[in-house]
Amino acid sequence: METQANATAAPGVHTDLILLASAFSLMFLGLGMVFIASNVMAQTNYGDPFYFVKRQGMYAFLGVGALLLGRKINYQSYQRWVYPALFISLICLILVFIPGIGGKVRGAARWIRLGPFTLQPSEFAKIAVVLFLAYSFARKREKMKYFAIGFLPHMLVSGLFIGLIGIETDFGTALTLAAIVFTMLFVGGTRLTHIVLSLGAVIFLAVMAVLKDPKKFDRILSFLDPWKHGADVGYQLKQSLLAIGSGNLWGLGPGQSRAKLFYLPDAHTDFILSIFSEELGFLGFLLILALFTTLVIRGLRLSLKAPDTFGSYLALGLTLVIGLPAAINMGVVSGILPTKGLSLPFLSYGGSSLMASLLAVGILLNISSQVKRPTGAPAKAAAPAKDGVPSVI
Amino acid sequence: MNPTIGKWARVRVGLVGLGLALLGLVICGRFFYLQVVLGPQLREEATREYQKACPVLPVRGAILDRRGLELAISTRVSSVVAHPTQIKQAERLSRELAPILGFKPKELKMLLTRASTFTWLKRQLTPEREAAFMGWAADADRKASAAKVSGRRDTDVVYLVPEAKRYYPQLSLGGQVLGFCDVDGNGLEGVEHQFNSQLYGKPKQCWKMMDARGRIVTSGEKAWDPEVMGNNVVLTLDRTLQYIAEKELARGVEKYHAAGGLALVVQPQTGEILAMAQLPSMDPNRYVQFPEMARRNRLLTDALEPGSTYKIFVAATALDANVVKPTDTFNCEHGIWHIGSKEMIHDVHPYGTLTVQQVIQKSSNIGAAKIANKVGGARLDQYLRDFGFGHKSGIPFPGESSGLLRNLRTARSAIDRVTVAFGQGVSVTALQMTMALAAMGNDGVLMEPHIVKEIVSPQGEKVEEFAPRPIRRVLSQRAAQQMLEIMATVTQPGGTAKDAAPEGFTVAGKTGTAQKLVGRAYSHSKFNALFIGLVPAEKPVLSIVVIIDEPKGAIFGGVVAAPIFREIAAQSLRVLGYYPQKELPKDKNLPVQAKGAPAPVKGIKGTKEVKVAKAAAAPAPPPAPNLAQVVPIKLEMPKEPLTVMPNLKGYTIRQVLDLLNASGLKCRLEGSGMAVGQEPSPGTTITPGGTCLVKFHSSS
Repeated sequence: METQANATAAPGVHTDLILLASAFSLMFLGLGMVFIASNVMAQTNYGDPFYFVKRQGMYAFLGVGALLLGRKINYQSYQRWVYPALFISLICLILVFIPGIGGKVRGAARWIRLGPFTLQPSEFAKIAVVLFLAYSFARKREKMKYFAIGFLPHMLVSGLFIGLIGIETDFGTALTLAAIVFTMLFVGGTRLTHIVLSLGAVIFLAVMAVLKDPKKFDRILSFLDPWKHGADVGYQLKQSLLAIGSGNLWGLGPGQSRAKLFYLPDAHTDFILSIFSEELGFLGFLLILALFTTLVIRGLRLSLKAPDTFGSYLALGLTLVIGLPAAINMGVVSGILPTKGLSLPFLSYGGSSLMASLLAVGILLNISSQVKRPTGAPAKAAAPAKDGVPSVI
Repeated sequence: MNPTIGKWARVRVGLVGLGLALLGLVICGRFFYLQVVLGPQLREEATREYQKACPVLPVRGAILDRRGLELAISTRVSSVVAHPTQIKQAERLSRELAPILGFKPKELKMLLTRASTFTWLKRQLTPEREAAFMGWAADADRKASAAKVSGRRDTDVVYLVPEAKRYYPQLSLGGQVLGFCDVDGNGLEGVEHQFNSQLYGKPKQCWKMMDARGRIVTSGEKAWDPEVMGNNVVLTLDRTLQYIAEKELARGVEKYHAAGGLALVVQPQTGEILAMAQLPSMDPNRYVQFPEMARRNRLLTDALEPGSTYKIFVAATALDANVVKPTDTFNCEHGIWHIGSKEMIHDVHPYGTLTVQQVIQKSSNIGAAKIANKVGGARLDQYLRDFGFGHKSGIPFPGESSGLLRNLRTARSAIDRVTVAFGQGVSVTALQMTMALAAMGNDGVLMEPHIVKEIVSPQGEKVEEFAPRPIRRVLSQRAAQQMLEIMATVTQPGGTAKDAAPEGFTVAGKTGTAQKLVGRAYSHSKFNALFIGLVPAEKPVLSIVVIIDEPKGAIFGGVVAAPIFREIAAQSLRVLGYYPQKELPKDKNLPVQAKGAPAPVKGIKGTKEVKVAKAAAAPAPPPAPNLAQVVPIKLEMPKEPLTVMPNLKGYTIRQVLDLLNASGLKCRLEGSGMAVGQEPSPGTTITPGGTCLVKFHSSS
């Protein structure tokens, strides 16, 4: 970090240290939290309290590599790789369904097995879709308001991805991706009527599906009264609320969580924030919120300052890739949104999510390193960025 | 190409930011509401969810002998409990567990399907069953982990809890004194019953933190929690003396194929009961296997006719009331004395004229009856009641009998008045008799019998101390002394119990052979053989009563009970540190069982010991020719606490303890007999509160 001062002083070589610091803080907090939330369970189920944190540490290592890579590669060059990236993501999303390659956990086929590790393609697919949208928006610009150009193709491509992720039964990620897509469409200049109508159609279809099976409806709405359903469908949420509530202002203290003693399912993944809030209290939660807020603010600011339209939309999309799941996850664990499997970026245990998030930050850093340049000269911009890379570490 | 996004796009980015900010605010508000506003309430609710109130069962206090030896203790065993309402597959569970716990599957299923949140499945498992259960639990756990069953499993709501179980390490030793407890630790008999409230302990609740699988994570329970422990009850019993009494009693009972026997050893000066033996005995560890007769403390619950032993109380009354002098003579009518037209009194051996002393020595019924007549009914009644007959002694023990003493003032017939003189038509408990006898050995003062010395809290503080309590003076010192001298002749040549005195000691005693009442008539084949005595006669330190129930082959107290008395007395005196001064040949006549008894004082070198022996010997009265002089070795207690370690070689355990306790030293003892080694060595500077080790060795 000492070389940082020199690096920033050099013209054109800029690294958004605030963004980087937020991301790293979240990553390290996540490593600690994964350990704290999982050690009892890991000891019981795997005979090694460090089982999860060891893996997460390795993913973090790989993730930092992805971040450096993202920081190093000029984001402009992604424009050439949009379709191959989309295609690879699509293949991967299909591969998860193939027995032998895909791994099923609790009935959900979200993973591809790679030796001892698993890869969750949907995490990377989100970035691919964002790349595609940003690329497409930047190209179409004024034509965005036409239904056939600005709306339909994006909806079809995104819809395919969302649908595939949805039938994995990863509704959380599918819904998040849908939210990202609609937000980007909104910013990209698609007519609001298109958005509203399509949203209406989606809602109508959802309601129809739900009405067919009122039990499911009850299930979804169980989050409204977790105490009533505390013994069955609302169990996880009830435990989460108890954990969060137990934290009070100051928390029970690091390592003092009680909910992690098998009371709260998925304590080290989707509900890690509950454990965090239980141990570190409201102040601890504020820290997490502040870090995410900083990240989002830096990302949105970047989207306004980006040297070109592609960069703007890309920055927006990547910010949403981190910010939206974070917000939704926080809403879920605190019971203001229905419970859905959705991890908290950086903090939840899960290699793909962590690596994708760090990669996103890396790309954001690359975009931001090119902001200061008066004119968009991509070829030149890449060169100083290369020099800037080592200084980041 | 426009390098950046348009103005409206920028606005829309702003809108997105605004939307996210709103979302963040809502979430922040939600967390604030949950954690700060509802926080304390939710934390409490969570605590209720995670914790479980578990009763901490009380740990019953120990019962100790006078030297702190454990007679009854509580040990930890495991019991299996279950929470039936949380069990989903009772059928399968009961099938698996039934053989392990020794149930029929059906019975177990009934228990497991009860509509209660808690039930005991099996109390106080044997170690084998406990091991089997733990094996099963570990197995079930492994299977469940392998099957990745999440959430609360059936096998998690059936588990072991520790419980206290009463254990009597000395088995049947003093069993009927200790009594016993039910499975929940409530005393049902004996000291366990009488002092239940002190021993029981204080149950409390503790909160145990459970994980979601119902396993205890942290527990408020402590391994050693004085809060739940009951007080310890320290008895006056001396384990060694109790052992001697029981062993010798058993030998006697066996020898004469008797139905049973009683023996009681009391310290006359304090009224403390040192040994309380009875046969048949009872092992409180498995009290259900014993008949009710063996469970109750018959030494004080059963009243029996004292027979000739009662004569001494009549004689003592006469002497104290100055009605007779020891040398006064009575005509003993050559064996048959007609009282009324029909009634007459017999002597076993016909005698002519006997002095009061001889009446006791020879045990003449007629003589005793005449003495009683001379005393008069009213006076005799008063004295006998003063001796403690006819009412309860006040010992803190359940089920005491008051015996039966007819009102002699209003007795209608002459025969009723006189038969009491030789112990017929009157019933007494062994305890009453021993205490009355002890009064004679205590210069005429009757002491309250004493079974509990003190009550000590688990932390070792004295809660209650029972000091020796005199009840009343029954006899003058003179009369008591005269009685001792008279009774001493019983165990001398010409007396009825020549075998009663241990080698080197004198015994003031009296024999008795009482016909047992069968129905409403005296039996001619069933007798109680009694011997009661004080030892040593000059200055009694023990009052001992031995009663043999229905001896066969021999029936007389002097033949049956006296030798048992002798053995108990001899061995007890040695244990207590009283030795005959006269040197005894080692190979001759030493009590057979005197294992561990220290050798005579002789041979102890070192200035202090010699001085001690001399000091004790000097004031001893000139001995009667046939009596060995008794030398209770007395320690000269230092006036100030010791500052250097004394040479303890040759001291008895008790002397060592007295000496060192007075100096504030804590002492660890090894072995038995006399001190042979010590740590620190003599002359080492010591500080109060320090510890030392003294080794003892039997040198006999």
